[in-house]
Amino acid sequence: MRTEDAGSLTWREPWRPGGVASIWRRRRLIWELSKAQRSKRYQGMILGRIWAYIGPITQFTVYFFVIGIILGLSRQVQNFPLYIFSGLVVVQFFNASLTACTRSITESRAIVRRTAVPHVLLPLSRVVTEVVRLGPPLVVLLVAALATGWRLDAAALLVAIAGMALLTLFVAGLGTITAVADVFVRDTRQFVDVTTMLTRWATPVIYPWTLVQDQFGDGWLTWLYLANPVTIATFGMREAFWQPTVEEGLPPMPLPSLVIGITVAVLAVAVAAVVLRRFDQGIVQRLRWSA
Amino acid sequence: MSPQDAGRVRVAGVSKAFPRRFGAATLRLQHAGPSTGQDVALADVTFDVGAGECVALLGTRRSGRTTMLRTIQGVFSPDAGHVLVRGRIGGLVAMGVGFSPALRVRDCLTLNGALLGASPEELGPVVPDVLAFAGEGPKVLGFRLRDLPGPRRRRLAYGLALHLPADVMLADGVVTFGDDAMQEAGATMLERHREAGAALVLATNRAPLVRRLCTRAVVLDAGRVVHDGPVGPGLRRLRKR
Repeated sequence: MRTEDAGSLTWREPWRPGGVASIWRRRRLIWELSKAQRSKRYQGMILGRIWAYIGPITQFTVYFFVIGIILGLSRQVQNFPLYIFSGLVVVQFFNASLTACTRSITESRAIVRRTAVPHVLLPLSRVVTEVVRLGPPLVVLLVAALATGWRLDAAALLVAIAGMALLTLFVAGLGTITAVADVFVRDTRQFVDVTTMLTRWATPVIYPWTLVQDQFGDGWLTWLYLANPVTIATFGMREAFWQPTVEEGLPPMPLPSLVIGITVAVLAVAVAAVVLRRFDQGIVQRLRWSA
Repeated sequence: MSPQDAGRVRVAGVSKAFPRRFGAATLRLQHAGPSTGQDVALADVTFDVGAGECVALLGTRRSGRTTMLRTIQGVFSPDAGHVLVRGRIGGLVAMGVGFSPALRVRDCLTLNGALLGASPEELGPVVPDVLAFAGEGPKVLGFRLRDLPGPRRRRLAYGLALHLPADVMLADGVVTFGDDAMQEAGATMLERHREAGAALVLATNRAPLVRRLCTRAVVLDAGRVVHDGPVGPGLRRLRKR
């Protein structure tokens, strides 16, 4: 019952933190971990996967009525429902991914303590789960766009995909850092809760970013405000889904903000790699004692 | 089997210590070697395991057996020395990991197999054998795990751990379990692995099982090797402790 290639085996160290090649080799395991998380989510519920649609639709409706109708923002932005929903999809994805990643290692004690699976796979599998969960909100978004005169703009769609890919990279990096932090520092989840709440308001999801520009002018403060991967992805989604449905859109993202935002995402991944390497054994030792 | 194909596990001068208390200070200490303020789990441990060999890791509580097994498995990295393995590591050390009451049995088997490095293509042919071993029919694959009583879950987990292809089989704590028939079936499977050329490392003190399966015994005492040789003297050494 040896493996088929047992005769041509080379010596290797059993312990290794996950590098890019190691992650790619284990892509099937990442998928299986993600599949297990998705199977558990709606299991045993009467409405099952319908909840995946109820959540975003309800959230959209609340925001639309409170911010759009009652606070009157829908008078300032054309096709406000689509404007708000194309941003909400992005922020919701970021918040759900970051929250799930943060708990990923501490909630997988058995895997950490009893297998040699690289720890990075745990937050990554959560990100994959959230990417798959983007499906229902995107369907709702597409239906809403089609109902308001949307037409396909292939270039804009590519921009949206690139923006979401950048955000995925960023949240994978940031989520890995918070996942490691969660093992050692109990405050991490509170910190993440505050961060996700801030993200909702600190990115131009509910209001047009030009309101910030009006307050701070066209200088570095506005650039910094826009310089994060969540905002870049929001701009991309708007470009693809909202812009084609209105006569007059919003100005594009300033180039310095775009460059800084991309740098932030790459830095998050680099820091995550360093943190994982530094604390890899500490994670096992810490979870070895905890119940 | 050629001599260069014979080695499976090489443990050379391995030391491992764990911090006594884990806090902010420990984060700074964790890459330090054995020192004050740390529990020494392994101290300069050296032994090899060849293909088709079964080694019993014997020792009392806190002798370092589990740490040694987990270091071979790759869960821990040694503070000093090195561990090398050839081939896929399998066995009972990760038995049932990934089994979740909310999942269907099929998904549990797939996930546990994936965690041990088995692809669905490798897992597919093994599943009928696992079901037969556990005394289950194919229908059970569609059941949620929570609908099965504990012993049936454990039999499935045990069956999968024993049937997945592996070049290095590790077992800690549970080597055989259940009624006499299940214990006999488990021991027979381990024998078949050994005869097929896998290297077995069993961290167990159960003398009848060690005598039956193992060709050598390594006795650990406070993290040090105090015996590496025939099984009989190894077991006697253990009883003297």
